[in-house]
Formats: sequence, structure tokens, C-alpha cells
Amino acid sequence: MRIALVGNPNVGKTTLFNALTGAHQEVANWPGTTVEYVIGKIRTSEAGEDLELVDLPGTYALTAYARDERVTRNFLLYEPYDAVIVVVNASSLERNLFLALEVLELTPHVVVALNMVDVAREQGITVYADELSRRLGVPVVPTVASHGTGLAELVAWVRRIGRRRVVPLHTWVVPYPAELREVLEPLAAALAEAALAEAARNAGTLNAAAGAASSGGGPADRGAPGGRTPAGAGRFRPEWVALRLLQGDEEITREVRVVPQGQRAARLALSCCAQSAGIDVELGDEAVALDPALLAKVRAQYEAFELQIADAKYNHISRLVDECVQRQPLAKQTITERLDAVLLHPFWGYPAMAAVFFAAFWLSFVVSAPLSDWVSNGITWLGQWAARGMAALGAPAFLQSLVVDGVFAGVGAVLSFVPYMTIFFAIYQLLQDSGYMARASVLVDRWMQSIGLHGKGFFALVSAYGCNVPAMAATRVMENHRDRLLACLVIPFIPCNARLGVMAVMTAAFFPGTRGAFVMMALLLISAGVVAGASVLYRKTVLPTDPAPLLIELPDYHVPSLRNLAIPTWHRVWMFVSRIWKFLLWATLATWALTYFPVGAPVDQSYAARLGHLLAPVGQLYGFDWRLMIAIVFGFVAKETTLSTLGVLYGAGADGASLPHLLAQSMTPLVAFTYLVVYMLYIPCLSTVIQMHRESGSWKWTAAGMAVNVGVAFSLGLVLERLLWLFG
Amino acid sequence: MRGSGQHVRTLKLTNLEAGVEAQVKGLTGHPLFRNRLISLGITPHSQIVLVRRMPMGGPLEVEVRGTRLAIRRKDADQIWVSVGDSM
Ligand SMILES: Nc1nc2c(ncn2[C@@H]2O[C@H](COP(=O)(O)OP(=O)(O)OP(=O)(O)O)[C@@H](O)[C@H]2O)c(=O)[nH]1
Ligand SMILES: [Mg+2]
Repeated sequence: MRIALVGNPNVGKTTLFNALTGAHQEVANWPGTTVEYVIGKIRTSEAGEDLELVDLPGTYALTAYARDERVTRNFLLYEPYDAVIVVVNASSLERNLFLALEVLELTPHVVVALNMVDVAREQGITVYADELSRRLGVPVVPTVASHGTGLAELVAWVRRIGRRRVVPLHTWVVPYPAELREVLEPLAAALAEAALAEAARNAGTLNAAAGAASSGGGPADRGAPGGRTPAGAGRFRPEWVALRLLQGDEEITREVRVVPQGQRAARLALSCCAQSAGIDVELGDEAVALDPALLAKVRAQYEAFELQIADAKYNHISRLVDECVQRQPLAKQTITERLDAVLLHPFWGYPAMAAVFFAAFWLSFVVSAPLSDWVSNGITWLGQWAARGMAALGAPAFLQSLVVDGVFAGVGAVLSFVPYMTIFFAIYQLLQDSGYMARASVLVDRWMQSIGLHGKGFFALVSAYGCNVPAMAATRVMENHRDRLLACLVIPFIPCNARLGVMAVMTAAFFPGTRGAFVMMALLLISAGVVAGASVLYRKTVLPTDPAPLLIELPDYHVPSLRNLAIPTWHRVWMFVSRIWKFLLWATLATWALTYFPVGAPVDQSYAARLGHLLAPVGQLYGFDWRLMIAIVFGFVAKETTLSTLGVLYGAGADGASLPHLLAQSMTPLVAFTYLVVYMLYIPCLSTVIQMHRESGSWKWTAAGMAVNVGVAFSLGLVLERLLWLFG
Repeated sequence: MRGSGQHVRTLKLTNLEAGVEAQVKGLTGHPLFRNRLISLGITPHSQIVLVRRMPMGGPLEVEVRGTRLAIRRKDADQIWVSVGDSM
């Protein structure tokens, strides 16, 4: 049995999901977008059938038209499932029941999880679940997902509802006013007829293609009894289709029109609408499509219907709430109100935010640094141990080098990301779950907007100074695809921890003392300027829309549970490792091969060196020698390796000379500064490219973004070189 | 009914004083945006309170149907509300 979890954002769907399924989860990606849903299994010890639970992204309505909000709607419309758990927040039923009613209009196979009853109680709100259940005609189970309260009863109801034929309490779920009913009822009748015709037709085609897998969506007993209808609107309740048609839902209109009877129904909807809009000609679609004035009128009428329908729902909800909810006025402020008085204070909110973010990043750096060291030391140690073993077995030298400098270096490159990622994602989840991230977005939205970015992207940008890869994953909080894409396009211009490290070493070598600090500052300002400039330019050229409206809920603050932090963190880290390891391993092997072959040749005659000499003409423009060009090419694999590559190429350590010393001898500070700028801005690393592809869902955008990165880095480098040459 | 016999003012949500309860009168702007407002509970006749304004032209925090939302000033300009001037 397959059960969908639906609800507003932040009502506790994932908490409920984690509590019910534990570790039996897998992440499924919705094709074409980066929004994903998670599937989990509830195992039972008794004879009962296993339940498959699907955790869907939070949504406020099923009418959501925006592309990025459609995952939930599409799932409920087109995927097979047996029942829906609608999770509502007991402390804000007035808004939460709206979605519940929309789901009930779509299917009666619903169990309502009345979640967060503990929060409601604290706020002096009592919800009479039995009464609500009687009024809605479906089970309503009070739960506290974070403590696991009420879950057994919830599951028991789901089992019962999922298998039975359920008849809705009222055909129209919501008592729509008479003037709407006059339009809706004939329409629903016509649609029911169309559905029958469709079923008959489908039965014919199904018989013809006997044994063909049926791929219908929704609860099994919808449409023709005994079978799922594979396509068309016949699988939806006619009442629901009637409501959608009146609101001008183009997708559903298309579905309805697949049979002639449906076309008649669609025309009926259009003429109802025209009549209400005061257009008194007999309309065909063509007339409407041809005349912009008529089209505008019809559109306006669809919206008028939409408002009337929403109004009727909210009125119904008001009555439900009056009857089922008791409120005791609270004398004292809630915790959320008291916290927000500081955290959203027009002045104090900002230092508070700086403190929160500083603590977050400090933790991810400071705690992960020793862990990263352990990991890389451990890998090195294992590598040496393996080399010794191989030497003892008499393996050829190149094989030993392959294993140590190729395989183990590659594995080390993958694993060295893991400690930082784990801690970063845990903190990210903490800020998100606790409700603080929404506040931070609100605080910075104005600034972000001035450079064309969305307030919700702020954390991602700031966190990019740690590592670009999880920063790109963190752009996912933005619903709008373009906002997300823009953030992903500019993130690579922000130097990550690894790049900052290399920059710090080189700066210290060329600009000792206080000058070094100024140079670092200058570099960071250049990067910030490029981020802002690139973002504005992208907005002006290829992504010409304003950031999506910032319409976000400011949820009550919660203390997240450990499980809620651990499971998503694990998912994200695992996703990263499983995607990246192949690429990184191959890239490290390629690097190894280029520097190792031809066998026995000194470094400056390896294939890598030849590649470097090939690139030397480009480097000459900037004053970079072939070794610096090689470091740029190999830096693509992982920035962590830059220093060691340079070390090998410059022969550091061989005669006691340190790399900074050798570097300082081989070029002027001006060339070094130019190099640093180029180094800071060009493609960050392979992992970022792969993450970018994952977030943008397109190789085209990924390639374009990287081309811009390289272009900007090298042209800015050229400009700088000229300028510095003129003035220095 | 509120407002009977009183002086009723209609204004943009952006210009509402903080802490005053108002009633939503109408929504303008892009259909997608209005659709979103409706699903968030901002519909004509709903009661709305402006909780606070972020500084320097930042977003507004409002309370509607028992939940708090943040909304940009530019977007709040599309929402018309009315208040009764009761003393
Ligand atoms: N006090 C209390 N907190 C809860 C309860 N259920 C969930 N929470 C907390 O509410 C927060 C949000 O829960 P999630 O499970 O992430 O909400 P969600 O519905 O999955 O949210 P989206 O995925 O954003 O749509 C977390 O901090 C939970 O710990 C509950 O019954 N009582
Ligand atoms: Mg969730």
C-alpha cells in the first residue's frame, strides 16, 4: 500500500515520516527538477501488509501553478497511491485546513494527522478531534510527531482507509453558495457522463492491449470500478474537475477534452464562465482565442470564480474552527513572539544574525578541521602501508605509484570533503528546522534583492566561503528555478576554504606582514564585487525576471530532534559521496598518469609538463610560467591538491627549499597577485561542476556557467595585469 | 459588523500602522501572485495585522488567519486593506 504525506511546509511531515519509517528510506528525484521526494517503508511485525510512505514537499494548495511547486500536485494527480495523510498544524488550523479541503475534494481516501497538539496546548488552543472528524467525514488523529505520540492509531486508520471504498460525507466537501452550485452541478453531471464514455473507450483499448501495464494515478477505486483508467480526466472525481474547469485550469481542461463528451463539458464550462462574465454571444474556443478582449474577460471571470471558491472554503473553515476549536486567551507572549522581538528587531536582528552565522561557520570549520586531518592522515597511512605490502610482494614501481598517488589520493580527495559536509549539513538542517532560516532570509532580503538575488539565497552564498558544493545544495530552499539557478551561477566566484588556504599561503609568501592582510582583503572584495556584478548582469541578460515574491511563513520556533537532523544530513552526505567518487577517482588517476609518464622522466618532461608548455603562450600574457598553468589545470580536480602539485613541479622539499620560498623567487608580487585573482575566480573544482549540474538539471547551464567563470577570471586577470603593469 | 457608523479608510497594506487590525479589501497584481496569496489565507474579508517592518525598505511581517508571514513592500502594495477609525 502506498501512502502520500501532504501538508503545508513545516507542519511536521518529515518528522512523522522519519518516526514511522526509521532508516528504511530512499530519496527519489522528480524527473526534470531538483525537487525530490523520499520514499520509506513501514515494516510490520504482524501479518499486515508493508506500507510505503512518500514524503512530499510542503505546499499551501493544489492549485499551485508555479513550476517548482508542482511536485506535490503532480504526485497526487498522476501517481498511484492508496491513501493520503494530510498533516495539519493544530495551532493554525484556519490556514492548514485549506489544503486539507483541497485534498478531500480530490480524494476521500484521507486521514488527517492533527499534528503539534502540544504546541497548540501551550498556546491555549484545544482542538476537538472527534468533532472535526465528524464534520470532515474522515478520521482525524491527534499526534505529536516529534515524540511519536498517536502514530500507532494513525497507521491503523491508514490501513483501514487505504483498502476500502470510501464515500465522501458530502459530494461537494465544501458547502458552496447557491450561485456557484447552479454552475457547478450541471458541469459535474456532464463530466460524470464524459468519464463514463472515457471508461468505456479505455475498456476497449485495454482489452485490445490485454496485459499492457496500466499506469493510472490516484486511489484504485476511482473512475471505473475494478480498474485504473490510464489517461484522461475520468480518473478524477467529476466534482473536482468541475471546480478546476471553472477556475480555468488549462492542464485539466486538456485532459477532459480527450473524449467528445469531455469536449462538450469543457464547452459548457466556458459558456458558464462567459455567461457569468456578461458576454452574451454563443462562444466557441476559437472566438475566445481570437479576441483578446473576450479572452481578458474570460480570464477575469475564472479568477472571480477562484476567489469565490476560496472564499467559500475559508468560510467553511471558519465554521469548522468555531465548532471544533476552543481558544483560551493567553496573558503572556509566546516564546516565538519573545524571541522575534530580538531576532527580528530592526537593529538588534542584524548583530544577532551575524552571531548565529558566525557560530555556525565557526563550528563547521573548527570542528571539521581535525576530523579532516585524521581522515587524510589515515588515508595516507593506509596508502603507505599498501605500498609497503606491494613492495614486499615485488610489485612493479609504477603499480605502487598508481596505488599510492592515484587510488589512495583519489579516495582521500573524496573523503576529505566528508567531515566538513556532515557538520555543515547538520547545522544547515538545524537552522532550517528551528525556524531561524526563514527569519534570516527576511532580514537580508532587501540587500540581496538589490543585486538581483533572493533573500533565501543568503545562507547559501555565505556558506560558499566554506565549500561551494553544499552551498549549491543549500540553494534548494528557493522555490523559483531561476532564483536557484542564478545563485548557483554566482557561487563559484566565492572562494571556498580550500582556495582561501592556497591564497593565504601564496599571499604570505609574496606580501609578508600587514601588506598580506590588505591583499587578502582586496582579493575578497574583488570576489564580492564579481559576485554582485555577475548577478546583476545575469539578471539583465539571460534571467530577466525579478526574484520570486518573498512570501514566506515565519513558523514558530522549534527545538529540532536529533533524528530530524541526522537523517537528512546522512541523505545529503551520501548523495554527495555516491555521485562524486567516480569522477574524482578518475580525475586523480588522470593527474597521476600525466605526471608519472613517460616512465622515468623528470617532472619537467612528463606529459603534464608538455601540457603546461602547450598552455605557456596563454600564461605568457599574464607572466605565468608553465608550472603555474599546470597548477591551474590540475586545480580543477580539487583545489586541495594545488599546493602539493606546485610543490612537485617546483621541486620543493628536495634540497630543503620550501615552496613559498621557491615561489617568491620565481615571480614578481604583481604576477602573483594576478595569479591569485585568476585562481580565485576560475572554475572551483570538479565536485562543484557536478553539483551544479545536479542543481540546474542541465549540462547546458553548467557548461555556460563554467565558461563564464573561466572567461571572467582570465579577462579580469588580463585587465589587472595591464593595470598593475601601468601603475606598478 | 465593524465599521458601521465609523469612518472607514482604505489603504495599501504597506501603509498600515503596526498593530492595527485591518480587513483585506482587494488583491491586484499577477494572477500567480494572487493565487499564492489566496492559498496563504490572504483573501478579501480576511483580517490582517501588520506586526513589524524590516528596516531600510525591507519586507513586512503580517499576521493573518493565525499565522505570520513575511512579504516584500512591493508585493504588499498590491494588497488593499481597510480600517475603521475607531477612537
Ligand atoms: N513541538 C512539536 N514540534 C514538532 C512536531 N512535529 C514536528 N515538529 C518540529 O517541527 C519542525 C518542522 O518539522 P518537519 O518535519 O521538518 O516539517 P515538514 O512538514 O517536513 O516541512 P517541509 O518539508 O518544509 O514541508 C521540526 O523542527 C520538528 O522537530 C510536534 O508534533 N510537536
Ligand atoms: Mg519535509
